[in-house]
Amino acid sequence: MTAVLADPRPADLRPGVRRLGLGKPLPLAGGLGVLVLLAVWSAGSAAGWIDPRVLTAPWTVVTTGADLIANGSLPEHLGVSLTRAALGLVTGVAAGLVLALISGLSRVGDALLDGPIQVKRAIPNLALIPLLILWFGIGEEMKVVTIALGVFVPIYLHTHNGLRSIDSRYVELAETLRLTRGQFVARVVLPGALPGFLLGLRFAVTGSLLALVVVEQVNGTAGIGYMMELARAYGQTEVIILGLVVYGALGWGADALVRLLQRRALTWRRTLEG
Amino acid sequence: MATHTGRLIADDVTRQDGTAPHGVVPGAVPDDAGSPAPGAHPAAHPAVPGDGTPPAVVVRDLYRTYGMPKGVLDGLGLEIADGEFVAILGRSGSGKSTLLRALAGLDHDVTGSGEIRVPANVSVVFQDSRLLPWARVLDNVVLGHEAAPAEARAAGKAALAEVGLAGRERAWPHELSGGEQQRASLARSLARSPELLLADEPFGALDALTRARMHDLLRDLLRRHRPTVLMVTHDVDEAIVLADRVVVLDAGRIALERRTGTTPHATLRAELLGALGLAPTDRRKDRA
Repeated sequence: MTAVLADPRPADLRPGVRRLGLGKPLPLAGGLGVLVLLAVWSAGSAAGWIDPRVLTAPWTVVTTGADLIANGSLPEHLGVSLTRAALGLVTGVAAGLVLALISGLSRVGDALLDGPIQVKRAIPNLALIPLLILWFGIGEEMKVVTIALGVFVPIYLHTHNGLRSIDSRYVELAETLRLTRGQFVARVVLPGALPGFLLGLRFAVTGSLLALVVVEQVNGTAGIGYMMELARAYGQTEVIILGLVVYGALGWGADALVRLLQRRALTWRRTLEG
Repeated sequence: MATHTGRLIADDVTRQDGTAPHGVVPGAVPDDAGSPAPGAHPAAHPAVPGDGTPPAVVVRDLYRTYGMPKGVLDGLGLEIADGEFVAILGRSGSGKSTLLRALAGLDHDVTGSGEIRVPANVSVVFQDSRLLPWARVLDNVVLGHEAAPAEARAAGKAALAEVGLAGRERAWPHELSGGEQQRASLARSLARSPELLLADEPFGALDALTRARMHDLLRDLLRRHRPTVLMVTHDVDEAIVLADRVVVLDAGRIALERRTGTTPHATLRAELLGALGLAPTDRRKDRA
């Protein structure tokens, strides 16, 4: 049976041009690769291709997680880790922000601060750990300071860059509008540097977790890293994998949080995302 | 800051009480004490230099060099009467933007000398609208406004309504079209009731249709607010249509000065184009 009713619109004839752009995004784009990986992992474990001593099956990780939550040890370790990361993050962000403002807003500050900070940036943070252990011991203080030192650099760099890249036309405008220095900082400088600061914050959050992993394996007595070290000693692959999953979830969650903050705070920006 | 003088003049005529008429030469008796309310301007036409009223803008022996032996401004002198609209024409490098920036006090690091007197309340309209992208339209309009917040916002709202942007107070600048952005920047200037409006090619970035509409709007606004205006432009026709007086700059000096309104448009246009070193075309013969 053929359609009798003619379509009122003419046929869609258009010049054939080879598409070189990417086209429409796939559904589930971000998560697709992760789902495929999980499927391969599950299938491999179920079929017995993967030795559980090398890589535990996904469901074992889940049940281990449930057990450790039930006996209270996972929440305890997680609490310790989160407190460390948060303390380091807050200290580092505050330090980076203050230093960026001082060196971004005054020539003297720039001359005095920027050089040493660039030197600090050239030294890998983790290479400072032996010195920090000598200075602060092996307790919490050293751990928080290490995290803060890793955090302040990206905050400083991106905020400073944000401050310096504020269009000089807006500075001129502020002059013709006779703004006071305080008004200029509050209405022009800080909002103008906010995108840079938030980008720095994204790096800082991931950086704080990175530093966390390292310091927790230095003579820890609690924390996710300590939990994993202990599991290594007893050959508990499933606990190690669980620790990795928790670190991954923390990193992803924190980054998602900052991205949400970015979207909220930067509604004035018209970007590619619309 | 009422005055920024070069090293030739040391006296400062900063308005102390906020009510003295602008441009007062120290020692002179102010003959129109008390700023006239907007719209209540005494004269239908701006005062002509030399008729006894003190000029709003005085520029004398102005040199600006940018470190080069041959200056960008080379001993320029100019007076603008209260309420007068002067358009500055000139080729690139003639010094017209340097003059505007000097009047606006934006040439901090430029070497030079000479005397500049401008009113206390000066507002600048740039070629780009220069709205802060992170502030909503009304916040942009009232940025740095001297009045109390509530008062400033009322003035800002009124100014936005005057330029036809009522209801767009909460919009982000990028949500406005190019013409609307420039109207918002006009509102920002208007909201401060400036005594002197400096405009640097304010319509240069707009398309021809929008520009024509902006001309009408500007004429209408100026009729009501009567500030003194100095506008730098590339457009000879725009200068003739809007200004009371057209000044052509060449090599940092005034090459030609003509009043509008008495000479036929085409004649004046030919004369100005001649001074700019261009043979007049008959592209716009029909407008003569």
